[in-house]
Amino acid sequence: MTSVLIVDDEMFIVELYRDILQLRGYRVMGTAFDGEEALRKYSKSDDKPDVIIMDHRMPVMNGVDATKEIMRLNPRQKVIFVSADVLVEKEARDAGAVDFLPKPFRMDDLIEKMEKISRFH
Amino acid sequence: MTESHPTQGTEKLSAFFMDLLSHDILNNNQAVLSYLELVLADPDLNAKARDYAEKAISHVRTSTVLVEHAKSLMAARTVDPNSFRLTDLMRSVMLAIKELPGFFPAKKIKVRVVQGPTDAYVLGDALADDLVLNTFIDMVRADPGDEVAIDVRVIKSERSGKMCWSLVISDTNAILQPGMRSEDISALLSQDNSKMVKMAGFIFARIGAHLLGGEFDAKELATGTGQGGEFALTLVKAGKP
Repeated sequence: MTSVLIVDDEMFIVELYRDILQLRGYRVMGTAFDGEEALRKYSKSDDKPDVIIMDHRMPVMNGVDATKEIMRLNPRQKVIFVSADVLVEKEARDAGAVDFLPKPFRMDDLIEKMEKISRFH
Repeated sequence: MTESHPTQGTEKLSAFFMDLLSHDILNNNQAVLSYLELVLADPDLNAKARDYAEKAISHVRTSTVLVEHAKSLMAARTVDPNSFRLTDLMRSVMLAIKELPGFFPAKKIKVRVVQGPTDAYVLGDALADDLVLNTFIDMVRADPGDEVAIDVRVIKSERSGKMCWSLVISDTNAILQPGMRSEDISALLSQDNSKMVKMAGFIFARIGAHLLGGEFDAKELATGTGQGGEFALTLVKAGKP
């Protein structure tokens, strides 16, 4: 079962992803509400997620910076970047994100990207 | 010491607020869209509820497009027109045709490309894509029928001595509001806001085309009858890539 870490500062978005991903059979192994919390949880955990769903605009540490730090810890980590700010796509990919989805997106599109990653994992 | 104009601070604040607001609206649209998708995934959902949910999704999409329009305009205001990238107008047209039905689930839309050259490159960027999609959406909105037939032509034109490409779309059943017919932007913006209904997309087209150095025109197909409409989005021609 593919495991996921959800990083977004909006509680309702975190709940939304969690509800849908669990319904689709994914294991949501954790959530974080800013980049720093994500980084802290990621570095402390022995059980790394297969995929991280990462927002960009968050307090304390944004998604691009968090992705850079996580990739430094584990260059093989798969991060799917999701943001309402399409201008950040290049930065996100340069930071190491394998994919980018502009909000709002269809959940099927996210699932499709997750499945693609799972197949090659 | 250089003093900044008082409106500069206000403009910066407006841009900042617009940015925050659009971000939050898009996040909320994400939640509404996804929960509606969950509702639609229920195989036992009755036909009427399915219809309502699909209509709600189309309104979320429209709301998203309006936010994107506002963001595009805010961004384009600060960009030097000389830095606009080369854009394949026909690619933008085909993209818009593909996306169009998603905005109007209750309508049957038939688009006929009468003239679609392969070398119609214009100066634009993401704003050009938004303008093209917006032109199609406005035309379908202007047609009150459930079945909409639109003709598309991309033709060479000349404006103020500049070579251009015009995307001309027409619909014999469209009904244009008086305020939509060709007049300059300042005249349009001086109108009473309370009377400007269904005009946001149209005003976006006018201002957006102007920012790209182009124009947007609207006219009745048969002058004076109020019947049929033709929109022309004209953008400055660019060389081949």
